[in-house]
Amino acid sequence: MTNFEDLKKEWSHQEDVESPKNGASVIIKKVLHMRNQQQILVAILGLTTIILIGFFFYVFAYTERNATIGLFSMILILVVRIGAELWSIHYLRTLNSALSNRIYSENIVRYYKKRRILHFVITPILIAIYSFGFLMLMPYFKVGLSAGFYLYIQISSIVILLVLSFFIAKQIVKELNIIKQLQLKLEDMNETVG
Amino acid sequence: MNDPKLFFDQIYRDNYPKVFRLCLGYVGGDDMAAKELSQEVFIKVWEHLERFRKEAQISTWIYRITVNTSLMYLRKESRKKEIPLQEWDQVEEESSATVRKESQMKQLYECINKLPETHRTILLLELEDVPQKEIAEIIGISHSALRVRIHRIKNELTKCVKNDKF
Repeated sequence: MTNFEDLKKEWSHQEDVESPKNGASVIIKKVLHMRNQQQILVAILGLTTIILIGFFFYVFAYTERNATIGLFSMILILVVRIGAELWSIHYLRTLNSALSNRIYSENIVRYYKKRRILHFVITPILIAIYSFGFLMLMPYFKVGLSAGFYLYIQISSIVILLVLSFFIAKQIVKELNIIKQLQLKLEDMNETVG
Repeated sequence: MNDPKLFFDQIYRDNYPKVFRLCLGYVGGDDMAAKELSQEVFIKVWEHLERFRKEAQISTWIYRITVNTSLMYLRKESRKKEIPLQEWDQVEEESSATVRKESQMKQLYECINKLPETHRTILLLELEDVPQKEIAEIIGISHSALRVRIHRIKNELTKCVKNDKF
């Protein structure tokens, strides 16, 4: 192989791949399956919220002011955070992929910048409110649970918070990296245009 | 064609080979990854089919989806862009003509993967013999800007393949 035309010839002489049989109907089924899975996920999350609210009334949490605030803030934060994630998934899935690569990349950068606000502004506020709600419930746990289980709740809550923070940080680094790469690429494209 | 399923089936059969080949270029010749990626591309094609306007050429429209999906796919999983060594080892056991051809392709894939992202896309479409005007449209730059760059990209690739020659 010496010049570009030879390379092109080599490229075009690659063994031709045949379209998989029933490939189109497999794709359509897969899309339907994905949509069903999403609906199941939304249903599960909805059911979990209903159970939590049910639990709230079951334990008469509304009779105690602090317990009401605590439990209600935790439920609310969970619903808001899960809602934000579902919105993100939906937004990315419905983003028009048939646009030019330049506009598509710009849209992706815009999407990840919105995610950056979610990570750096909204999530810390949500974690703070969630922790506040949890701390409001602690006195009730102390009264209602055995000393051992109370200790377990204290320790596990810190561990969960640390593990969660680690995964959120990892995801943030990954997404920031994507923004950086795409911005470099867009700069490169602008140079081409200019 | 009024039935979207029939229309999609037609699009799938007509375009699968070239989509697969383009995907293969993005994933460094990894067959399994290219199949997975092609499937993702056609999922997008099906999901976007209602938005397709007849004024654009269907091939350009599919290439745009392929390029955008491929680039996101590579980012999402930080996939290895090189061909797994095991796969190329198997090639060694085949006939010498096949080995030579396969090793040439390996070189080509490796050199393509060394190129910056936009250059890689331009080059893969050029190798697929897509008209330059269409490539410019897919990338989103002017035809003249593409013409300026394409010569340099071709040279970069040829130089890389020559240098890597066994």
